[in-house]
Amino acid sequence: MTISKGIKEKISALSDGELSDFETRRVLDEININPELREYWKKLQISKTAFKNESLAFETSDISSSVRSELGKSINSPSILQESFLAKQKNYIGLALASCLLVLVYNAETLNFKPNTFPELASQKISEAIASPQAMDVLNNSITGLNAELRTLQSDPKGSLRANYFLPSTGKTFNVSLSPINSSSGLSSEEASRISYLRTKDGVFIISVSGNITAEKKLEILQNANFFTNNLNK
Amino acid sequence: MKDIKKKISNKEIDLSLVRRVKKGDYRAFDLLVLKYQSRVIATAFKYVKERQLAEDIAQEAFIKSYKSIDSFREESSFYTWVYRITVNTAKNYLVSSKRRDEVVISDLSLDDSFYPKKLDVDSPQEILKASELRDLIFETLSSLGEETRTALSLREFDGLSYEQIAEIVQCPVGTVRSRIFRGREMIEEVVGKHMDKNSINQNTKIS
Repeated sequence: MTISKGIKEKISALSDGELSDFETRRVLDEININPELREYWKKLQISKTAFKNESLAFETSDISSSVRSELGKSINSPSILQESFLAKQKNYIGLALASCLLVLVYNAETLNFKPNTFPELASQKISEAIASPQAMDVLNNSITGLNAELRTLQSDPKGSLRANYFLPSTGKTFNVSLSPINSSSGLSSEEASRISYLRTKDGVFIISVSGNITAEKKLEILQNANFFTNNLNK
Repeated sequence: MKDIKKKISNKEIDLSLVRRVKKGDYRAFDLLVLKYQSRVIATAFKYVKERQLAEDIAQEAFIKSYKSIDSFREESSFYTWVYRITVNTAKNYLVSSKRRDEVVISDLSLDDSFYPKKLDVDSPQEILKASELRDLIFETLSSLGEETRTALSLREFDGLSYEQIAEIVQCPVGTVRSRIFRGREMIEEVVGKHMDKNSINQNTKIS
């Protein structure tokens, strides 16, 4: 894999702390997927060590691979979070499908289920939204690093998903909702104090965060979702 | 959207990596290992005076830090935190190895005197190699064009930010960034050749 001078220059600037948060994130992503950039990063550290007049006696040592193998990791393997997420996702989908089924049963019993009626179409929309792996991925990746516990996962007739999370560290709860763009009118601005638009392969969604958590945390959740969605679309 | 330029300190760069590690991204941890491994090994070496042992202790320290990354409160720098873990790991090793020595001594019914550990410092060849590399880096620096050398020197020796360097040499920040990068490119080429040469020599010795 060839590497451009541009990305190397950015890595050089990163090593000096001269990149913006946004650029830093982008460059780290590039380093993570390109072994040559990883090697460049390593060589940069060597010259920096020499300039600091620190010992170069151990510069030829490389324990990174043994650390990695001891921890059972691979550079390009899915992260721990992704692994645990994949396991959790099965539960979430099961829960979501159960909710969908409940809505269908309820509609069939109370409304005497008529074909091509609103409940039928709504149920279909719910199924589509829930069945979308992108939707579930985005929702769950939005809370990475917050150590939040999922309390409930609900869907509504407009095809939205709403996850209610609990933060054990503070005892607070918050909601992260994902809605198809055509049901955006259902979101009240008071309820969703933070909203962002996400473009996935399955269409455009609105992600909203509400609840008694700080604005900073809400922003972090939206940034996580955006970051994940950007990667998803590559 | 315009990218807002905001300087990030070295500690913050590490913290941004640490936060990624906390989110489960092992690859960010790998960059931290690459960045600090030689310093961590050097720290362990001060205690155990044996290269292989120092590498083992450094490895153990990184593993411990990864496993307990959630308890890292970000009050200190990542390196300070790993440094403490390394020192504790090295001390624990010395205590346990002394205990083992005592058991062996008692088993062999020898006297109770303490046998000091063998002082296995780097070989003269290794010291020479490190010294050669440093000389090469400094030679390359002095061979750079004046503008490039000045920018890189102000950054590496005086620790100035790109903005401060730009003010001194009276050019745009972007030019400073390019000059520093150009200088590093030259140095990286030398470091790369030196490392390749040593790796060939090592392989020749093994075969």
